[in-house]
Amino acid sequence: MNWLDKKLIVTMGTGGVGKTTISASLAIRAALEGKRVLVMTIDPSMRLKDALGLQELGGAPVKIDLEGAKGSLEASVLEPKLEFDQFIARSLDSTEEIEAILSNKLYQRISTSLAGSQEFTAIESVLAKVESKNYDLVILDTPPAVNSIDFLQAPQKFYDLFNKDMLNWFTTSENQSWFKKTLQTGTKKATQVLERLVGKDFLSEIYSFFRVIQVLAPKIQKRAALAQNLFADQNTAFALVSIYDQSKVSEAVDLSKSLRRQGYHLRHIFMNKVFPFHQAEAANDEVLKKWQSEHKYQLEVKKEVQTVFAGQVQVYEIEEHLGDIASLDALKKLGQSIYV
Amino acid sequence: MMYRMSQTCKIHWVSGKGGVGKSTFAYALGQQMAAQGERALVVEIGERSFFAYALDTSIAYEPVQVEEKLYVAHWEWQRCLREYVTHFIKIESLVKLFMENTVMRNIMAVAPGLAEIAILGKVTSGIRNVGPKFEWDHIILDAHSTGHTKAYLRAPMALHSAIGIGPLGQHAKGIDEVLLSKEHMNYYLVTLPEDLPTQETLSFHKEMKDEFNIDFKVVMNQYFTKDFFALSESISGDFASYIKIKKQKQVKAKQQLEGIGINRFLAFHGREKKFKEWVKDLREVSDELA
Repeated sequence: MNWLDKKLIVTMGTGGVGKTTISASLAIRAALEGKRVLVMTIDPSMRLKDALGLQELGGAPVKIDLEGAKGSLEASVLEPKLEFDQFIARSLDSTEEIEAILSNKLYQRISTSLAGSQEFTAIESVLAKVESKNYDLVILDTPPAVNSIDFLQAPQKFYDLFNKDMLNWFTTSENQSWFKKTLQTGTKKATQVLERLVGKDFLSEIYSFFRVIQVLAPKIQKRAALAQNLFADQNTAFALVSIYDQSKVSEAVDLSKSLRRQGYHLRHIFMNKVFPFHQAEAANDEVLKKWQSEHKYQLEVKKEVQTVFAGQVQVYEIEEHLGDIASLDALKKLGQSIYV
Repeated sequence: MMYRMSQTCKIHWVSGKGGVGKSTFAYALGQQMAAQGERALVVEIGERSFFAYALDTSIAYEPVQVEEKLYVAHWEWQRCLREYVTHFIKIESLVKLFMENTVMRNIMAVAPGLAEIAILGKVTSGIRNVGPKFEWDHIILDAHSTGHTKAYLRAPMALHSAIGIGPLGQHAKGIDEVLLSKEHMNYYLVTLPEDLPTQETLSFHKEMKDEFNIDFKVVMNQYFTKDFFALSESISGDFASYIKIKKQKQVKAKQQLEGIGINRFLAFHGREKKFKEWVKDLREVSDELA
């Protein structure tokens, strides 16, 4: 059950646990061990970008020189808007269709803000990278969210947005306008209210957008299904990153439950920022007592983690790292401390 | 439409990078105000309620009293929008038809800024004197990540420019006026005496100043006071060097934040399981202790 031998590792965790740092360290470790690795992240901090040398925009993987690596390391920052454009260009045959979508006034806004569109493009590009067979291991660093399981379901949800009812509603043939239909179904009043809420222009932009995008719907559905297969594959491992903090651990437990419900394989838990002293030297000092209290607290939470995940997943501990973490050397060191 | 603005309610907006202690600070602020005899409501707008867990009670849309004069609520945009639409349409059956229509729901999720406006409308309704009766002296908004804060602050103008005049456009404008008014708003940015949070604090602070002319007050959480550092002098070994590195990081963070200033320092104290009591023990310290 070695994480090194997987084809895709999806790291998940809530904000502030060091998920991106752990993802980068795992990637570096795997490259040192001889794998061709790609680590994909969505919104890394500036410092981490600096450390990995990810200054160029454009979302294309950047090669990172790693001294002593038997394999190779590439990293990319996902740019949802750009990748959505590329997906459209890849999926449609006629330049007219492509033009029609890209020039839609609402597209700019929608391609980044429509429920699930960012996630869809992120997952689409992970799928494309895994399919390319250019890498032995792809590591996907998901955006920090309590419900990051939603992230994985996004392609399906995104497709559902264009489901039959929705499309019919907007795209009925010209003979029978949607106005007639809505009169029949009683949604006209609702439409009027909506118009007052969001404005008439916005509504008409939406209609034309949906008319164009219906061409795309079957492709989206196909890719969504392939993405689900990939996530449920035996060669895909999910890894949770958390810290010994009660609320973070409870979030992690919830996440692990929903992963299991979806049939995904949760294999690893990385407990980050562990207080590095086994005993904060017993003393009567008021100040030391606070450290001891912190240590005691972490041990209590640790017990919970061990009870909940006993025997099911591999728990790794990573000690709190005090040096500058945002450098390639520091990430390398961190990676080497994670056993394989 | 001009709103007659209420002078009594203040909104405290708490933002910061994940894991820096936003909710802790928001709650501490609430306790502080309640202790002064004022009614305070801490509002969560995240996907999941932190306080339900920390306080071991159920937290929902309707405020729940958790201490004397201190309340907590968890607001979702759909519910806030429903309340607004009800106020706006006034016919319950029409509201139902409108809000329970799948197509409508999908469109509302896409409309730029609508979700944010729904929540902001509710948060600022006391000040704007609209909607249901409002009885809070202070609203403390636990505004999760900095990214969300940006989206929220941009929403009123985005919506206003998308739909222009009309009731909701005016509504958005009114919200924007409140958000930008110094007398009603306090913006806090919670950070830690460490490198990455400091970098993010600097760039976020600048961005907000440039875009909205809002000065976020920086709150440094888990701050190590002089007595902590005195400790490293009296002991030796790995633990002593651990404390020394912590000190160096803190000194560096403070230097980097010098330009924007640090408004408050919250002293580090080891975590404990009982949240309420633990927050009460949280000490606000002055910089002299550094």
